[in-house]
Formats: sequence, structure tokens, C-alpha cells
Amino acid sequence: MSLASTGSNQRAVRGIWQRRFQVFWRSSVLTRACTVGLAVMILIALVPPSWWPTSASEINLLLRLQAPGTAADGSFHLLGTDALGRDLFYRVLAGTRLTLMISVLATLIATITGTIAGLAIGYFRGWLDTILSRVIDIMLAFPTLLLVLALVVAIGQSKSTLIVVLGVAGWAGYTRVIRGTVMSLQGMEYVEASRAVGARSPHIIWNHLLPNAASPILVLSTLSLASIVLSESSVSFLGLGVQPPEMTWGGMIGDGRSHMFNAWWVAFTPGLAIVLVVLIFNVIGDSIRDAFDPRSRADT
Amino acid sequence: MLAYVIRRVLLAIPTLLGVILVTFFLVRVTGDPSSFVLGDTAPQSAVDEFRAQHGLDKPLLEQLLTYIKGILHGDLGTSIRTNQPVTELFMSRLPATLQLGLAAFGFAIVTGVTIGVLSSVFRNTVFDQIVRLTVIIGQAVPGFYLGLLLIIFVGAKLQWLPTGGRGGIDHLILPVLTLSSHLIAVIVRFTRATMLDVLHLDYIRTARAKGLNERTIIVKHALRNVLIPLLTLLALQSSVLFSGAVVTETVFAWPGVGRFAYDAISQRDFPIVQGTVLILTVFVVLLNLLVDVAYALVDPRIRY
Repeated sequence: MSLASTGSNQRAVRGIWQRRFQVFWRSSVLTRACTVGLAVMILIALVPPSWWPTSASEINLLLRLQAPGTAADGSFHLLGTDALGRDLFYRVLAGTRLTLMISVLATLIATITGTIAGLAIGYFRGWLDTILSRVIDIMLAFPTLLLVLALVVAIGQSKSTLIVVLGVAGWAGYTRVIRGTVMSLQGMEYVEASRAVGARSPHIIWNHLLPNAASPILVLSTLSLASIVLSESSVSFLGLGVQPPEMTWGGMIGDGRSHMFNAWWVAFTPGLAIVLVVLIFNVIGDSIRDAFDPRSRADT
Repeated sequence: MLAYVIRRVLLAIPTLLGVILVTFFLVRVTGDPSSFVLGDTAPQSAVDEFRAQHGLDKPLLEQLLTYIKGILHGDLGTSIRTNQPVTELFMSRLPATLQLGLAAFGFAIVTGVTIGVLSSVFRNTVFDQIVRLTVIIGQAVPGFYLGLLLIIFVGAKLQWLPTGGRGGIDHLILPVLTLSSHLIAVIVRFTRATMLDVLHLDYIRTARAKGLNERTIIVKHALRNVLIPLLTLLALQSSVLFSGAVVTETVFAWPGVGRFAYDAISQRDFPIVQGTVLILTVFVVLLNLLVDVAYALVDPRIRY
């Protein structure tokens, strides 16, 4: 009896998600284009670094700062070469991997810590809520970039530092939203019913609150992925991100900055990649929100 | 009413204390500053002297109390590198940042609100579609990238405007565009969405029924109710603007607080970093407090 009801429950849940996906997919041409773009980007990020042509990583000083097109030695460089003669087109493609990896892992840290904290203080309230809400106020008032830069320099520049610091700088926004969602769900009949039949707190949080907070979490993580890509590239642009030979797009723009007057293309291309990625995440995030919560639709 | 204001002000005190605590420990996680100021090979006597001079040999709690006492007296310590007071250094850089920040804020509000209102009035027209697409792109362009593009193409190629430094109005244009671009996108989006909500409300219908002309309805009835929540958004955005100032000032060699803080970070001059972060954050907290209180004064519906 209880097994059968669980089965039909799961089918119903699957139905809801299917419907949400359909609304998402049909929302606009831009949404569909960005979804395809995201898929392509993930594929590019999955390519192992050694698969890219050697011109992406090999230094060739004879070919330094070649303009887009055919270079001095007859080789073709779609987007030109950088100050060390490396092909920019392949370099930008190869940089997708690290840029996305850092941003995705940082977003995961922010999402997980932020969600746990938000569920806890939204459900239990009390002194923990009072304290954490103050901490969130403080976090949101800090100039994030300065905090991230200072921490990265203080702890020591490395990939893992950057990931942790960006993640830690981002949890507060989640906690605030999840806390609000949980508090509004608390009054729902199914939560009260569950409590009335003697369900324990972990059961209620896991089975009732978390699934219903899933859509704001998904929307927030997509949008914060976009802002973390921006933060990461700012840090790398300022020269405090990952260190060469490893490279993210922000670092490439930082490199290009010293040649911007005689070779504009060095900074131009990686920047375009950042714009594209942030655009994709923002559009997808907005479309998910519209699909999950028709009331929030900005254009209705 | 008064009770709310007092409550709100009292609530800001633990927040400010928290900010002080975070900046205090921010510097402590970096380890002993003596090692990177004096080098690893410095004799123990020099290290001890340095630590005594900067009060680092005292217990942590005593250091914290000294730090708080200093803050209350406007003393934020001295630069490790130059031994000048942090407050003095900060104040000398502040006018440049205020000029840039206020210009960017003003420009963003005027253009953002105007475009947002027009976009909501001419909803779903070609104009609206272009605005919406531009806003999506505008939110995706990193400030430093826009700054570089402006320097390369408007500054160097066309030679229309200077590419860096502080000077006349012409020096201000490119940095202001760079710093305000993201804020403009945020304001346009917010104004448009809020206007669309407001335009559906009953009192707008009443105003139309009374036969008021459309311009009066938009400006006097709808826009006024959009400006109040916009104020809150702007106060929240002020901390984002400071992060933007770090990047913009670095790209345009603008001698302000943001570049000052960045230089201090790269030189590991932590008292300066600590002082700057503290002042900027306190400013943001107070600004938000001010807006909340002003909000309650203006709008009688708000009670907590």
C-alpha cells in the first residue's frame, strides 16, 4: 500500500519536472540557443588539455602577437596569437576547462553550505537564526571582490584557495533566500500534517522542505554561477588568480592588457568568451525561474 | 515609529561589531607580518622589536580591544611599508573615488530609470526588445573588459578621450561608463519590471478613468512608487559598486580608494587593507540603515 503510493508520488513529481522543463524549453529562442550553447561549452570543457593542438600551449617567439588570419610563417590563426606566440583560438577553448571548473566547484560550495544553513535557521529559528542573520548582513555589506582578493593573497594563491574563497564569499545570498522559503513552507498544511503524525525534524526537512526549496536553489545556483565566473575573472585579471602556465580567461585578458595598444585581439577574445558564458548562465537562470514560478515572470 | 528607528539603529550595532571582528581576523589569518616585512633571515631581536612595536606580542583579546579603541578614536593603524597613518592615506584617496562613484551612480540612475520607464511604456515594441537584449548583454560584460575595450577603441584607436589618470571631465567619461554599465543594466531591469507591476494597479486605472493624460500618470503616479523600492536596491548595490571601483580604478589608473586597496593587497600591506575594507563596509551598513529609516519615515505602511 505504502509502496504503491510512493510510486505514484514519484510519477507525479516526475510529471511536474517534465512540465517545468517544457515551459522552460518553449519560453524563447534565446533560452533554447543558450541551452545548446551550454551543452557545447560543457563538451569543450571535457576535452583533456593534451588533446588541443600544441600551438595552444607551445611558446613560439617568432609568431608573437600575430594579428588574426595568416601569420608570418604561413600558419593560420583564426584569432591571432599572444605575446608568446600561442594560438589564441585554441588557448581560449582550452581555458574553458579551468574557468568552468573553478566556477562550478565554488558555486557548489556556496550552494551546499548556503542551503544547509538556510534550512537549519529557517526551520529551527532561535538564537542560531539571530546570529546567522547578522552574519549574512555583514557578508552582504562587504565589498566582495576586496575580501576575495585579500583572502587569496593571505592564504596563498592557488586553484583550491580561489575555489574555497569564492565559494565562501557566496553562501550568504543562498541562506537568506532558502531561510525565507523554508519559513513560508512551514505554514503549509502538509508540513503541519507531517508534524501532527509524529514525523521528526530531519524527515520533514529532507522530505518536505528540501524538495520544495529545489527550484529557488536551482535558480540561485545558475545565477550565482554567472556572478562567480565574473568574480573569478576579475581576480585572475588583477593577477591574483591561478598562476601560469595554468590559465583562465580572466588571466588571459590580464596578459593582453600590456599589449592592448599594439595587439588588441589578445585581450578581446577571452573577454568575449566570458561574456558568452555569463550570458548563457543568466538567460538559463532567468528562464528556469520563469518556468518554475510563473508569477515571477518579468515580462508579464 | 520612533521605536522602529531605534530598533533598526540598535540592530546595526552588532553588525558593525561583526564587521570590526571580521577585519581584525582577516589580518590575523595572514600569519605574522614580521616575516614578510623583515624577511625570513631577520635576527630574532629585530622580529621581537617589530612585534612589540605593532603590539603583536600582546594577547589576542588585548589586541582586539586596542584595535576597537583605535577605531573609536579614528585611528586605523599605520601602513607597514611607509609607516603613514591609514586614515590619512585613505582620506587623501577618497575624493577621487567619491567623484567617480557619485558620477557613476548619478549617470546610472538617470539613464537606467529613463530607459526602464520608456521600455515599460513601449512594452513589446522593437525598442523594448532592443533594450531587453542590451540589458542581458550588459549584465554579462565584466567591468574590466568593457574598460579595456573603451580604452582600446575609443581612447587609442579613435583618440577621442584620454585613456587613464584623473583630470578634467574628459578623463571621467570612460571610467564612469565602465563603472556604471552593470548598474544601469540592473536599474533598467528593475524599473521596467516594477513599472509593469504598478501599471496594472487600481489607482492607475482610476487615474486613467479620471482622464489624466498619460504623461502625468506615468511620471506622477507610477514612477513615484517605483522610486522608493529603487532606493533600497541602490543602497544594496553600493557594495557592488565598491568592488567595481577596485577594477575600474586599476584599469584607468584612477588614483582612488579601490586602486589604493588593490595596491595594498598586492604589497601585503594589511593594515591598509583592513582599514579600507572596514571604512567601506561601515559606509555600506550605514547607507542601508539610512535608507531603511528614511523608508519608514516616508511610507507609513512599513512597520516591524
